Amino acid sequence: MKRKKISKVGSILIGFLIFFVMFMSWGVQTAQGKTRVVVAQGVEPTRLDPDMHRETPTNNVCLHIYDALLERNKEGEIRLDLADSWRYLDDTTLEFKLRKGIKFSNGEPFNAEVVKYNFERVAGLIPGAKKVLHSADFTVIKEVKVIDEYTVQIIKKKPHPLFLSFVAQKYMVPIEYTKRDNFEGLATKPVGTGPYVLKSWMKGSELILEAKKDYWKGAPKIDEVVFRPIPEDSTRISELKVGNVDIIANLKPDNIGEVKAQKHLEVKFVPSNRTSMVFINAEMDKMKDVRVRKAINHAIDVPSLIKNIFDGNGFRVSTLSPKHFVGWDPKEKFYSYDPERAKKLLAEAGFPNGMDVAILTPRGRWLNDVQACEAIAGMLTKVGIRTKVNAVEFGVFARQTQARQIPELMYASWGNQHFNVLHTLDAVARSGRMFSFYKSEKVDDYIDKAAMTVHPDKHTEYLQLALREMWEDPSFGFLYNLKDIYGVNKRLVWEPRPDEDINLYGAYVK
Amino acid sequence: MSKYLIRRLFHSIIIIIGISIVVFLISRLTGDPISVMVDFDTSEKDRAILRKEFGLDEPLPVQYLFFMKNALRGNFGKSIRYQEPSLDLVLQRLPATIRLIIFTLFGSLFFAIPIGIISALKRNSFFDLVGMTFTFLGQSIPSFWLGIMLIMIVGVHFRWLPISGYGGGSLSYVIMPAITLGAVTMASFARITRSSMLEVLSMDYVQTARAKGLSEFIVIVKHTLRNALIPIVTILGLHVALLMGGAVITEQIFAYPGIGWLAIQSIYNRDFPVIQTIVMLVSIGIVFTNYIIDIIYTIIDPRIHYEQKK
Repeated sequence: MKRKKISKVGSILIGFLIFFVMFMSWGVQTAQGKTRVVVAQGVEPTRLDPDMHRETPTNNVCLHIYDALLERNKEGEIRLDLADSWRYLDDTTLEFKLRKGIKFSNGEPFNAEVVKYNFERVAGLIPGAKKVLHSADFTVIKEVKVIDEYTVQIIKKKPHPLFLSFVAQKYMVPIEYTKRDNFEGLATKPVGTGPYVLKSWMKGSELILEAKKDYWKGAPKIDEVVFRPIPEDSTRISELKVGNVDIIANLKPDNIGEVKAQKHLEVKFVPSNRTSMVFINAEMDKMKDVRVRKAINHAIDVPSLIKNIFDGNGFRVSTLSPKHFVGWDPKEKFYSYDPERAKKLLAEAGFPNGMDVAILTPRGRWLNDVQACEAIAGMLTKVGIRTKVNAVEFGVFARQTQARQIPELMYASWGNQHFNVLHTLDAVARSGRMFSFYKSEKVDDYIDKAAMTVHPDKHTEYLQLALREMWEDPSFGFLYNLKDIYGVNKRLVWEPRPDEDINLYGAYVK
Repeated sequence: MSKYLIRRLFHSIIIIIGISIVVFLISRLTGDPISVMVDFDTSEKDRAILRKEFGLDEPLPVQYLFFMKNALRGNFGKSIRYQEPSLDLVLQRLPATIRLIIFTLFGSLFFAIPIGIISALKRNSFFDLVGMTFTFLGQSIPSFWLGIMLIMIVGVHFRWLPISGYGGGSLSYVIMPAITLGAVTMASFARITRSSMLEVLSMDYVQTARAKGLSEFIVIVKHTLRNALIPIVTILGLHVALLMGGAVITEQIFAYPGIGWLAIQSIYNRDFPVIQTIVMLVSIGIVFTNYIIDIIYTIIDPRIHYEQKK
């Protein structure tokens, strides 16, 4: 009996002992004397195979590891990268001359064969290879021809004015390394020609990139770039405040003051590549009359929305194009805020007593989406379009929109990584597309022409014509292009970009 | 007793199967995972390809049978988001959560039992008042608020502890999450210790022990505490389940890379395979813990016998 008691006391003691052994054995990792910049994102990267993901946080890691033939600078202009020159031989044949002497981080050479292999992979031209997530962007490729070791031609099925933009997003991966295991290894042990290599990746905790001293464009000035996933906004801001993190993205307008108040921090703004709009479901009878759709545009006080819902962090757009996009119309006109006119237009359209509608929006997918919709609903209700806000989880929203089961109105913020409004128009304004709820033959015609015209001036002109026509016969409530807001430690010299890329090559620490 | 234990084991398995069906259905009824996986503007053609790849084009019962067949072989499918075996993903994160929960449990017991004992012994004293106010607060403060306050005060203002992350396993990174997670547990342990101490203290055998002339220390530790701790063991099992639930919020706040955070992220992304794996593993863990506690119970309290003659 006595012994039994002791063993019980003993087991408790052993329990505590184990506890303290664990206590002692968890060592602290110390930082080394290198320049190190930490980026906190809301989620962690998924797969570092550049063709097997579709998310910004993963892309931000990939762009440090890989290079593409072309790249976009901060202003959105396309520049040479791995390519030494490019030219169109005709409307469908694009020829690239490549830079010489570039090697992947595993020693494999970069040459025309690599380019052919990469484009054939994404275009689905390699038999037996797994389909990539970006395949839809590259189905236009008919054939890739190697002319000599450093010359390659891409032959397309039809003219494609956005193609160079896709090329700028197609990161080059090595042949031998990926052939060995059918791209499996690339997802966690990436190999590229870019300025950084993956040093370590502790899932859920941190991903460390190490500078490549012999990078062909010159050694990066920051020795280590660390990506940390921190899901909670307030935690991200706290880490920025204490200096453990140097860059945080998606800062909310409400938190700007808090970050600015810290001497060692600054807030940076950049117009985003997202345009927000109210989709009008013109397939429904009450939205068929153009006067109703005009009334909606006259009823929404866009500057007030930007000021009150987003603390001024946005720009009004006349249609669907931010100012920094190809296709933006310098002669753009804006709808005046004119509730009286809206009421009159409604009455003329046969709705003297107004109408009841609903606006569908996801809850929390885009910055202050529900608040914006509530304000818009209030404005519309004032002119007689009695609007109910239908805010749902994004999963539900996505399902409803894909099934095209939307009410009269829908709020959405449309991303476009190509700095060209064609990409947006082709998805939401060209009739017959998944997210298009309106048919205008004129608009369709201009979009189709723009999509077939590679010549830059003519291409832009068609886009402007399409936008002007859309302004005259609106199938959207035109809203705004918000700014992306970043919290940055002042020790870092770095500028944000409209396409949400966080690129630290070229940045440095003071 | 072995008969009882076998019956309990059988019940446990039925519970786990039940859970698997519920999880499977709920996670599939709430939306299309493909829609969350890809951009809003991805073409229907690409969506269909992905749906087929993940077997989402099969009818639900077929999907379920397929899932169970593979699960029994340890294959829970590939994560939709990470495209990695979901069991690997979960196992990578599991040690961090187990560490957090063990730390929280031990930490709570470490503080709760002394508080409970002293409060009981010095009933209605100032210490009792403070102790019980403290535990009352612990039970009623929402954990996300406590977490954010700790970050703001301990992390940002005083800079005593790191704010978030794992720090390669450094202990300092566990303290704030453990306090946040353990507040409720510690409070209820302290209250239960106090009340069962009070109950046991009034028992005849405690009076007898005192009458025998045993020192007060022996009376408290050997005669009172041992018996007073029996209810603590009972609720320990319940609290493991509670802590697992709490870990979801705590890990999210502190960016602590455990399965709680993975779970909430997978729910946002409709990553069915991962959600299923986590819920299955956690429920097996909880059912198993409670099973063990049933066994421990019979050992520490000889009065309890599961096998009764009918």
